[in-house]
Amino acid sequence: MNWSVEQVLGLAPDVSSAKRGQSLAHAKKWLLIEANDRAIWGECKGSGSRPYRTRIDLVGPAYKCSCPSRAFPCKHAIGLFLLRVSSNEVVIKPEPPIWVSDWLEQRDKKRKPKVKADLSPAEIKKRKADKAKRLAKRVSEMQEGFNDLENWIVDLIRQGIAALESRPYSFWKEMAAQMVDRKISGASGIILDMALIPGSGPDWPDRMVQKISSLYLLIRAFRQLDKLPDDFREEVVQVAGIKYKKEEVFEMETVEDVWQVLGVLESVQEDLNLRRTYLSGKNTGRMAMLLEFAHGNMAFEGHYFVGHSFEGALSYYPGVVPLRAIIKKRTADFNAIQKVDGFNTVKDFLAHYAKDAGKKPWLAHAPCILSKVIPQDQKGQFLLVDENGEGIPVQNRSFSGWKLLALSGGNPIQVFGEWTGQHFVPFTVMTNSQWINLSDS
Amino acid sequence: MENWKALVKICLIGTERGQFDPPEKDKLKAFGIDMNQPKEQLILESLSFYSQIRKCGFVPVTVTEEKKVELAGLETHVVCNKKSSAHLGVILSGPYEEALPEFLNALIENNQRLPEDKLPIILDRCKNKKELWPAIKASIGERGKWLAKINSDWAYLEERIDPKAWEYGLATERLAYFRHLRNTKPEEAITLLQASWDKESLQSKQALLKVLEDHLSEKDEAFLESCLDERRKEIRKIAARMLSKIYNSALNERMFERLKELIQMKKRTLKKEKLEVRLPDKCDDGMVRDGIDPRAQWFKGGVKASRLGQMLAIVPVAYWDNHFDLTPVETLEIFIRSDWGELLVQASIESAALHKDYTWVAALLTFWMESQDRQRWQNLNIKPLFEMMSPELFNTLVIKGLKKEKDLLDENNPVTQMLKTSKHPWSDKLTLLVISNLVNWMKKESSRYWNGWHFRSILKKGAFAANPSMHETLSKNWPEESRIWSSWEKEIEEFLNTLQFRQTMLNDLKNK
Repeated sequence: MNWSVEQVLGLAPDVSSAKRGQSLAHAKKWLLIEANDRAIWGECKGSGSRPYRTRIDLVGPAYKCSCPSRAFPCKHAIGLFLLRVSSNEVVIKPEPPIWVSDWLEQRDKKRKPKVKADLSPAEIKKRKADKAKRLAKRVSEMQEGFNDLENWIVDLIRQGIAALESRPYSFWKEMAAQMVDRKISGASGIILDMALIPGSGPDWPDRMVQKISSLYLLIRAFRQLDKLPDDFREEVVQVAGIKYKKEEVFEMETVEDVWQVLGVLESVQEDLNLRRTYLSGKNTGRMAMLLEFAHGNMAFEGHYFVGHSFEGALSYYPGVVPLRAIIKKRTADFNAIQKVDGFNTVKDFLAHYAKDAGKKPWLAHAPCILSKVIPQDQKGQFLLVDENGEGIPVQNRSFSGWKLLALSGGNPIQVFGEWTGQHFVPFTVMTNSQWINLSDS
Repeated sequence: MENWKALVKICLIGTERGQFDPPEKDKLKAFGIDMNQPKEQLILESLSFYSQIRKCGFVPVTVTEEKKVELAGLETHVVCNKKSSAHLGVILSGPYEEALPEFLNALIENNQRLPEDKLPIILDRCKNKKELWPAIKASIGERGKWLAKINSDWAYLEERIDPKAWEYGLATERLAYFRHLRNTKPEEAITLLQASWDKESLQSKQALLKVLEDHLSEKDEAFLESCLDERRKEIRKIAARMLSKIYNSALNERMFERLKELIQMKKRTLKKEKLEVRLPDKCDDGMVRDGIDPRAQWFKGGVKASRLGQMLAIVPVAYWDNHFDLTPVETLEIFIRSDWGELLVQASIESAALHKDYTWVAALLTFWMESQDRQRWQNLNIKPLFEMMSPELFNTLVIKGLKKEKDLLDENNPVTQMLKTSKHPWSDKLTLLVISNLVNWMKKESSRYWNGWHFRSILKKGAFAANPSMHETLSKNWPEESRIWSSWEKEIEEFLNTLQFRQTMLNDLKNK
């Protein structure tokens, strides 16, 4: 058990859940507390007649509890987890009771790729043909949508984007909805991003024009879809909004490695919570990004500790610069990372980025480790400067620029973050003694 | 990227009005862009081309040698451990924010400093919390001082001791220098101020005078007395206030001479002395010069009563003890018995607070706590005394009050008010009495749980004021069988959790 009390408390959705969990971390409040290598389970006295049944799957971790609380994980799960970590009153039982093993089995089933029934070659061929047919139909529907989109952006250019400052949100929302109807959700996302740009700073026209041009590239690329090389076609199709099912991704390129968690960023888009987790493979050097969504109050599945690694296999979504991935399998254990490698100079990184962006014109965020940079404040603009005196601008959101400065004290530091093509968004600082997640308060 | 700029400009005003310059056209043509397509398409294609170039050809910013940053100084203290850093993170993100001063003091006591990544938030959060500045300065280490030098918002921590600032600096820099001088060499500050006084603007005169409030002494009197003859009322007012703060100042003596005429002790047949109080008919120039506002409304009552009140509130209340040859408690008794009791007591409250007369503070608070005739005294503004209370006095008074209380502390009970507003730590004895007062009520009460509503804020206060090592003792013996337990469970859990948080916070700070 290499979990610490702080890590468990870090899983709580908010401070008050953590506090309530702590007050349940006493053996006398539980009728049953048991665990094995994979899971922890227990029965807790509640205000109802029946005790609450709480179970934790360490792979993830994931939780289930019979209490009515909407907090996730609930205080029982936190309390039980804390007990396991900090007390020796937990009974180790290799075989869990049925209410635990059933749940674990269900979880395993969900995670494992569905095994295809043995099909005859003819059957396989037919299915493939059916799928190709469906795709072709969808593509032709999308083509029509792209024609509308092109007319729309031509209009924007003809009238001039200065007029956009006075457009209401509904102007964007309607077009975005129209794109969703045409099954081009990729364009819809870009349009909703555009809605926030007018008037948002002196350089807003540059950013707006950038978005318009990425829409235009998509229109042009989609129009000649069948002439494109395979991997580029995959890329275009995904950018436009054709989504792969998990099971399909599991069959794509899969990489086994020790995956090091470099940074995690949670954000909100409309009423959807988004989490981007960046990983780097210790042996292969491959980068990966897990993109997860959670609606409303739902919690994200699993938890990734920055500065720790786990063993597992990731399946990549196809494309010219594969980055997005999902976890095919993983172990429950995690270990602290000793050291990661990154780019020594800003130019090295920019050259690498240019190569990727050249292959994938829609590339927005690219992960980046800069190994030896000194943060500086140049009249309110933060820079990360390498040993050659060359720097890239840093976004200073909720003090992240100042935190970089504070952690360096004028000395070179290693930083992980995202490069957006125009500025660097810092996530994590790696010092000799620890990894610091800059979004923590 | 001249072309990019030209393209963005056309996009801004629209293709109906925007035009390409011929040389730009040639460049686009050279890049292989089809010039025969419709204008909008041409723009869009060119944009796509240039936005890719912009993305792939990002030019790093070159930082010249002289712009490079200095290194932060070497630290003399260690950073607190990771657990403490996590505690601090919790404090900064919400419900335990009130534990910040305690955290900082314990950090300093254990010879540690703040973790670097927390410095920006702390420095920013405490910009306006002057009371925390000494603790912040002592705990930010060399790294913090280095940051404060870079970010002018955090310069409040830096002592600017550049004497040139007095001659050439901005108003804020001059003020900072003057404050520094006043703190280190109070008399030199007076000399400096006198030398430049006539050249100062009204605003700077006001600001500089206020600085004198620290380290005020008889040595400042001559200068302040001269300020009473200033042309502007604003200056005279500040100077009079400062002079009245100097215990034996001529201003106080003058005022007392006037008061002695108005307030006199009369022996009465029943042997009890009584005061005879006369209101001042006139407010002469001398009184106005000494800071009395002839038309002001002071406390309650008419213009004449207000003048008397102002005069009494300035003069050290202890003058009366000497004058009557009585103890403060005895003097207070005579004040109370007077027909003008309310005015006399209110003025005594203000004078005691102004002159930090702790004997009078104690006498007044004891009277207020124990006075049975609440109706008569309900308009008194007692708040100035709360700030003057010593921790010992606070504990003594509250314990005394709690011991007398058989039922739940009433919302209007002075003890409740003191518990809710005081900043002092609670002694263990006091904590136990507060909690048993609540527990006893919970045991008896079966339905009217809302009666104790005000106790919630007492519990909230206690969570940060009680000694956290009492957590274990206090976790026991709650009346969980009480019928109103369920409506209190959450508050009590919160109270205990806060104590526990503070306890682990303090313990973790002891381990380096």
